[in-house]
Order: sequence, then structure tokens, then C-alpha cells
Amino acid sequence: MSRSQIIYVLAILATGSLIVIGIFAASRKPQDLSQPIEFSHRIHAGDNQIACLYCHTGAIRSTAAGVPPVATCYECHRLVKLKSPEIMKVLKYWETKQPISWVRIHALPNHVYFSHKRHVLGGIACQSCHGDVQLVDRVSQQAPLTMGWCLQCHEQRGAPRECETCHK
Amino acid sequence: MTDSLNRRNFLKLVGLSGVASTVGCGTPPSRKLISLVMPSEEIVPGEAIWYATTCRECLSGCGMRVRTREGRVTKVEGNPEHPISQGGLCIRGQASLQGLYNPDRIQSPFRRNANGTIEPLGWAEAESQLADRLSALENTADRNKIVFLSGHNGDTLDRLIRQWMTALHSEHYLIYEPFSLVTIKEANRIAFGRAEVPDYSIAEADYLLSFGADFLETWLSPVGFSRGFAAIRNYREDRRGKIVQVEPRLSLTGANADEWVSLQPGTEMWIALAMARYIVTEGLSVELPPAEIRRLGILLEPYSSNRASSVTQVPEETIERLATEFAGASAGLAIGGGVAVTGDNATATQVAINLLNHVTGRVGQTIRFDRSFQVPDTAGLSALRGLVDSINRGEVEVLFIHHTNPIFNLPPDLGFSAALQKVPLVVSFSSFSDETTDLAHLVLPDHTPLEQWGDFRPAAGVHSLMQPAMNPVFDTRSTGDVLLELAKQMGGDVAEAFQVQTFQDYLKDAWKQTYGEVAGEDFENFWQESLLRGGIWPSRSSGMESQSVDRRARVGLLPQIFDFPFPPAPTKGPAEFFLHAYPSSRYYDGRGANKPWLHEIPDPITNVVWDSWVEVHPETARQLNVVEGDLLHVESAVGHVEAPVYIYEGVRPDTVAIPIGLGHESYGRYAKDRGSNPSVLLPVAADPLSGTQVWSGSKVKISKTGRRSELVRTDGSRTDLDRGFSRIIPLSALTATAVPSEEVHHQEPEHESLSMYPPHDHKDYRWGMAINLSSCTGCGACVAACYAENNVPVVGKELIARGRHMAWIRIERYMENVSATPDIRFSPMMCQQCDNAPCEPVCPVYATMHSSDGLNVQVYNRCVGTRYCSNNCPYKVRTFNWFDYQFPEPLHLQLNPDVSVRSKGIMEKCTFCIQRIREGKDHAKDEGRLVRDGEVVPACAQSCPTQAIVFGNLLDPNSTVSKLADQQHGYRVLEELNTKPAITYLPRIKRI
Repeated sequence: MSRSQIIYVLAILATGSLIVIGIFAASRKPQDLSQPIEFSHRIHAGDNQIACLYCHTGAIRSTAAGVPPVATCYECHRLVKLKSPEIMKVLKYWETKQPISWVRIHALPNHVYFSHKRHVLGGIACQSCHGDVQLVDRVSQQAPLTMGWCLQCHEQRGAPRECETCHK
Repeated sequence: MTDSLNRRNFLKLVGLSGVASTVGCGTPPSRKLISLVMPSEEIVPGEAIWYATTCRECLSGCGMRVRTREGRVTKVEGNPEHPISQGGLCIRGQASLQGLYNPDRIQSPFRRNANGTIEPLGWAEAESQLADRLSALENTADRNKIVFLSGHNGDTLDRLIRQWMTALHSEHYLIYEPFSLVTIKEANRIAFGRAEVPDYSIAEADYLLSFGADFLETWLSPVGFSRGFAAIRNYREDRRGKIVQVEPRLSLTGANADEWVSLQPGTEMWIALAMARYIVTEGLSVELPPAEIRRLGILLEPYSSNRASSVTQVPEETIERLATEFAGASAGLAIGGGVAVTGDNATATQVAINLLNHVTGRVGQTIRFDRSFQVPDTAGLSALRGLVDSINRGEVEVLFIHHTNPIFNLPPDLGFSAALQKVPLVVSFSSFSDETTDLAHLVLPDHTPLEQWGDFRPAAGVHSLMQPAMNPVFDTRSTGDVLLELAKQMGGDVAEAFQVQTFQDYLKDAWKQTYGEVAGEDFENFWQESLLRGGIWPSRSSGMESQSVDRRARVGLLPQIFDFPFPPAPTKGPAEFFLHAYPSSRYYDGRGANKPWLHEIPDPITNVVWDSWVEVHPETARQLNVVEGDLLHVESAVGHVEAPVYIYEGVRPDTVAIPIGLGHESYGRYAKDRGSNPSVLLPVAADPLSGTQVWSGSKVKISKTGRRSELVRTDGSRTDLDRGFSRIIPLSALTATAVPSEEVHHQEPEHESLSMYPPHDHKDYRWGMAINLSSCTGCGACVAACYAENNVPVVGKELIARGRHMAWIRIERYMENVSATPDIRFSPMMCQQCDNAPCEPVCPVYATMHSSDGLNVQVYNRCVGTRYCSNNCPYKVRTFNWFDYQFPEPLHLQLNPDVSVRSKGIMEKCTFCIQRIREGKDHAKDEGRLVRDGEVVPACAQSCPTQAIVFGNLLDPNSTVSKLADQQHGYRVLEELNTKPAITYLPRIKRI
């Protein structure tokens, strides 16, 4: 074999192995969206009409909406549905004073500045970005959360469209 | 297969493999959302929480506010309410974050076995072992063999240690600080019978005569004094004060003075005495009793200007002129300190300065004994020699070492290191492994100051609190808590001496005892308010100041002073040089050497990074035939070091100067084996009157080694080549109607109307800055603040040498003239946020854009790294990420979540702290108004001890920045390029 043929073969081998690695990486399980507790937004926000801000208190005063402290769950569930296996999980977190490690569904890249407060105070319904969470048991990402998608709305509503509004 | 691998095929293959390797890459945002267990009124995810505390990087005790986000400290700032620092914070205070998050911190307790191996211990085990060991020392005589050696502690911790040692029946509690202020106390005791360090009203002085005191860098209270310095240097009532610095090597403080009196090292006393004599004999003194005048005349008789001139090598006329000026000043002030005044005549020099102040009536005027600094009685070299002797006699059974590193700072000949190895048990509370801790048998790491409770009294009436701003980063424990636990475990009368379980309770009880009356019924409320404020002090508006109007406070000369034996003048052999080892404004006594920011930010005078050097006068360099970077061998009678030459006109030809702080053999990755430690050149000598360590006056021989060690500097040239970057105007220009063109700069007529682009519209804001060069001292606090706020990476010496420094703001230093009237200029340089920004039109991808607020914004994830913008920037303020820079754990915890961490291939620059602007606008919008003047303060402006940087909205004609920017003498750098910068510089005012 000539030198160039050897190089060719080596290059193909290298490429092949990279493709294998790539496929392996791509075929990683899609993100498991199951939560540590089978919490149902439908029951809370839908059937029982609990306001979003009752639990996600940060949404109106901070950039982050936040997840409720275990104490908020316990407030009701010290009395409500104590026999449910999922609620027993909550009570266990409360008794052991452990935080709940939820799986994040809506995530923005680190270089994006997004303030829940500004949007909530601006009258944007939570559902505009998060979908009809009050209708589903398990939340999944409905909106693409891409820059184009953000800008579309900013344009319609006459919101600022400067780079530094969102890029940090 | 006959054809070879042609270019086309090769590219196909490469392209394919590229696709393959990118699949599944990219760092996703965190996929965890962790709840709190209990709701907290305080903690709102996404919002910062601030805690007031006290900086413990030196002895000044500046008030600090600590910003935390989601439970971790991300930034420290000066506390604007604090009377000492008044909102400013120095470079070392800013870098205290890197002490907290230092990757080389001792993370948990351990024991060092006889064979040198390290055995990790749990806290319970470590404490019980130590308690047993202490309990084994049964009788009082044995208990007295316990020694506690510590740096200067806060008040209540100091009290606890004293009480603990007393309960153990030991009398040996020693405080060691390398830079002692005891000489001032001792001299005031000798002269006035007041063993105190008075307050120096620098802000009120119009003539400041400093004998070596580096009051802008390390001496006494640099941040507070910087504010006073700005008051002198700025124009007030048609005048501007004068600062005269008397020292053998022009320090940063000297570089900011109006006059530099270069004298033979160690002869400051002679100048002060000759001035006092001239003032008394010429009848320039204030009214003094005739008997006192007569006796002073006799005491000062030997110190004629003529004799003083021959000893000090300062011209007679200069001494007499200074005396006349000083006596004639309406509010003169003479101070002495710094390493220049740490010879074996240190106390005598301070006594001489006291006499000078006395005869001119400054005591009670600018020197205020009614509000003194709280300075500890530190053990000097004499006391440490005593300790070494007792160790050698076998009189020390257990030695506790707390926050001090004597092996690094003491002259090696004292034998402290050898003695330490003879002590049966050495217990260290150090947070870092350093030269001293490396010899300890048991290491019980303390919290860093940002993680612990405590208090500190910097000055009379000012009592600052320290509170933990976050949970401990590592498995460390506060020394106060450890001592209380040991007492409990030892039982008996030792345990009975303490009623409390934790140091926090001990502190609170101590405050209750002191302030029970002030607090009244509701102590808890008083305590909470004090914590919020950062301590307790008389408010500026309260009547506490006026109660003590008796400034003179009956401070007069003691009769014994007239017999005071002033020592003779120092001498030096012909082939010898004086060694001037001086504290670095970045490393202090060496404790800053483990903080990467302090290495990365250049030294203000030399602009050298990551290194130490030996300063040599150009004439001496010529004689030795050395150039910058040549390694010089510096040898004293007791030791030698090698360091690269830095040629500096600001050091006398008969003197060489080496900064203190580097040359560590331990102390973590950033400090170890870097630079050289001048302490090894020092003889074991103490000032006989105060017992303090002698730093100055030793003699050395220097020789060329023939080897080189390149110094890495950040300055392109020493002067500004008449480009007018940093300007000076005479005072007369301000009072006269027209501005005389005293300095001709490279300037072209303005072409206001000529622009290829239409002007920008600004709706509500155009952000701008005014930088007052009369106030800027070049200290670099702003640079450190910027590193902390904006996640600016540290790149290290090698990359800086290749021009890859990442600082967003730099202090340009121009040595226009180093002489008796020094003209060394400092000016902060950062993105000028031009309205006609040259960077913007050249970006092919619109990554740098003009915002409607007049900012040049940089969109990181749009940037493709062409670097065209940087090439087109005339100010050279854009920096490029050549690599993905690392923040070694746990330094990454300091990163500000409001600012992106930039990756490889991205251009970046100063944003005017856009995250703070955004936050300010957010608050304003909540209240339906515009941002108020002063509501948004960028990190650099916040930290500036002299408030040289003012930020605000240029569209608001009433904003402070608008008023400053409109001043007639303000200028914009490279204005002739028609870049329309948003930063206006106000020239330094020359005193004429």
C-alpha cells in the first residue's frame, strides 16, 4: 500500500470510530422527565385552582420563579390525602428535613438573562411559555424557548429588542 | 486505489468526523431544581442578599458588605456607613474572596505524624485528643508551659483567648504582627505620656509631611487615609494642599506626593529634628512656655540644618524650606511610619516627629488623641527571641499558632524554625498551609473571616461586627468554638470559666455586657440592628463628635523628653548598599501571595506581574552593567537572595529595594516558589525602645549573576509619549478664566460634524463616567473589584507575557518625571463606551452593537472571534479569550451568576457593569420611574477608596457625572479621533 492509501484507511477508521462515538452519544436516553414525586399540576392548579404564585413565589419578585419549599407542601398535606403513597414521600422529605431535588423542565442557556418578575408584572400568563400546565399531570416543555420565539413576542408587544435586554 | 488522498476527499472526511464529534456535545444548563425545606423571608432565589461584616486582611478593620447569591459569597464591597472606610475597599479587601475560596485551603483537621505523614482526623477526635493532652499537664507550672502565639485578633476573640489561657493557668499569650505600630505608641508615651496611636486628620490637613508612611498602601488605615488624601489633593477654596513624602524609595504614596525628599535610609529622625530646631530657633513655632522653648533649644542644639544635611544628604535649604512651609501651614500634619521608619532608631524617629508636631501646634489640631486608633500591643522581635529562648530551655510544652506566619516574616537567624521543631506539640489554627503551619503537629483549620463570627475595634468608639456570610466552604471550625469545646472537655475549673457553648453566644454576651445600657430593654433588637449596620459607631449627625471638642485634650510634652537620648546616625561601608524591603500594596506582609488576583493585577509602580524584583537606580545599574531582567545576587551578612533587576529612578543610588510578600516555600500553588523573600537578608535586630522588628537599614552587597529572569510587565512604555492620555493642569488654570495651554498634547482640531454614520439617539439614558485624576492614586482596588464582579479570568505570567492579560480595567502608569517633584501619573483605562465606536462597524457578525443607552454591548454568543474590533480599538481595552480559562475549585463558587463566563474564542470588555444597570432599571421600573442618580454604581466606582470614579446618566443635566463631565478642564482620551467617548477625565491638578 502506498503512503497515501495508508493515510486514507487510517482516516476512514478514525472517522468511523468518531461516528460510533457520536451515535452512542446521540442515542443516550432522552432526558428522563419523571420527577421524584408524581406531582400533578392538573390536580393543584387545575382542579383545585391554586394560583401559580402560591407556590412559585419568586415569579413575581425575582428573576427565578423557584420551586416551593417542602414546608409549602406540608402546609396542606399535613391534613390532606395523607394515605397517598406520593404524599407519604412528601411527608418523608418533611420529617427528614431534606430538600426535594426536582428535574428541571424549562431551562435557558447560561448566557441568557430572563426575569420572571418582569414578564409576570407585564401581564404575561404563565401558560404563554409553560403551556397549559393546569391541564396535565406531568409537565413537559411546550414552547421552543429559542431566541426567535422570544423575539416574536417581544416584537408583537413592543417589548425591548436590544441585545443587552436578554444577553448577559 | 490509485488516486491519493486529495484535498477534496480530505475535507469531506474531516467534515464528517467534525459532525460526528459534535453530536451530544455542549454543556446543558443544570437539570436540577432543588427546593428549600423551610421558606425564608430572606432567601429569594435569583436575588442577592447582603451581609455587613468587617475586613480582616490587615489591621485597619474596614467595614465591608458581602453579597451572596443562593448561599454563596460572590462579591465584597466597602460599607458606605462605616466610619473607617466610608464605602471604599482596597485591593486586598477585594481579594479576600480568594482567601475564602482558595483551592489550597486546609479542608479538614489533620495530624502530622513523626515520620511526616498526614493523618486526617475528625473534629471530635482531634478535639478530644488535644483536650486529653492539655489535661495531662496537671499542675500550674506545667500549664504555664502552654503558649498561644497569634496575629492581631478581633476584640472578643482576643478576650476569649485571654480568658481561656488564664483558666489554663498560662500567662503566655503573644501577638505577633510583622508591621508593628507599637513604635508610635511608645513614642507618644515617651513624648506625651499617652501610649496611643492618635487619629490623624489627613482630610483636614493642608500640608502633609510623611516620613516614610505609606498611608495609601499599608500604613495604619489606607482606605480611610486615601479619602483624606483626595481631600488634600483636590481643589478647595481656591487652594490645594501639599503632600511631602520623605523616604529613600519612592513608594506609591510618594508617587502621589507633590514633593519627594530622598534621604539616606534611616536618617528621617535627623530631618524632623533639624526642622523642629529651625522652627524653634527662627521663632516660627506656636506659642510655647519660654522655659520649654529654652529646654527644646538645648535638646535640639546638635541638629543644625547643616549637620542634618550631611547625615541625610538632603540639602540644607530643603530642610529649612520644609520647616518654614510646615510651620506656616494653617493645618500641617507630620506622620511617620512604614518600613522606612523601622530601623533601630524607629521609636526615636517617632519621638522626633512628635516634637515637630508639638512645636507647630499640630497636636490637638490635626493629631487627635481624643479619638485614637485601637492598636494592639504586639510582641516585637525581642519578645519572640524570648519565646525562642524558652523553647530552647524546654519551657514550652504546647504551642498554639493562630493566624500568623512568623517563619516567613522573621529573620531566619532568630532560629524560630529550629525552635519550633523542639516543641513537643505545635497546634496550628491556620486556614492555609504555610511555612509555620507545615511544622505543626496538629492542624485545626479555622474558618476564614467571611465564614465566622467576630468583632473588631479599629478606633475608639468604632466597634465593627463580623458575621458569617455563608456556610463554611470546607470542614473547618471557628477557633473560638474550638477553644470553648476544649474547655468543656477538659472539665473542672477550665470548663467552669465559660458559661456558653458557642463563640457566637460568647460574642453576643460580650456585647450585652458592653452595650447593655445603650441597648436598653430590647437587646435583641439592638443586636439585630448592629448586625445589619455592621457594628456600632457614632453616626456623623449625632452629637457624639461635638462632645469631644476638646481636641487638645491636655496633651503636652513630658519633662523627661528634654533628656531624651537620640541615637547617632547610621553608617554604611563603601561597597555596600542599603536594603529597603518594603511591604507590597498587594501582598502586605506576604499573606496576599496565595490570591491569584493579587498576582495578576500589576504592581502599581513597576507594573510587574507574578514576580518580585530588586529595584536599582539607573546609575547603579550602569555601574553594575545590568539591564532589566538580569538576575542580581543580593547578599547580606546573614543571607542572600536572587531577584531580577527593575531599573527605577525612584530608588536612591545607594539603596536597593525589594518588595516583601513573595518567596514563599509553602502557602499554596500561587505562592510557592515564586519570587524572593527579603526577610532572609535581615539581621536579628530590634528597636531598643519598642522591641519591634527592624526591617530597614540593613546593608547588602550586590553582584551580577550573569543569568536572566524576564520580568513580565503590562506597561507598553514608561511615559505617555505626549499623547495626553493622563493630563495635569496647574491650579492657576482653574482660577484663571482661560485655560492656558501649559502642556501641548498631540491634538488635532475637532471634527465634530464629520461622521460616516448618523448620530445615535438616546432616549432616557446615556451612561457615562467621570474620572478625577486628582483623586486616583493608582492603588488598583477598582481592578480587583472588576475581576470579582465580572468573572474576569486569571491567565498567569506566561500568557500575560504574550499580551493576553484579560483585565477589563487597567491602571495606566506614566512615569513622566521621577525627581524631587515627581510626576508619576495614574489613570484608569477601560472601555470608553464611545458613541462613535470604532469597534462596531468592523464586526462582521454584529456581535458588538450600540445600545440605546449609549453602551457598546458585546454579545458573547454571537461573537466568532475575528478580533477585528480589538484591532480597531484605539484604547486597546478589548481582551480575547485565547483559551477556556479555569477557575480551580472552589474558586468557581465565587463566579457572579449575573455575568456569563466567557469561553474560548470570545472577545470581551468592560460593560459598565451592565448587570448592575439592568438591576437598577428593574427596580426603577417597579416604581414606575427612571433610574436615580447614584442608584447604579459599577464595581470599580464602588470600590474606589477616593471616589475618583463617578458613574451616571449623561442625559440628566443634574446628575453628578454630567456636572463633572461638563467641567471646562475635563477631557476625553484621543478625542481627536472623534470617537466621542462616554468617559471624561478630569486632569490632575498641579499645585502651583
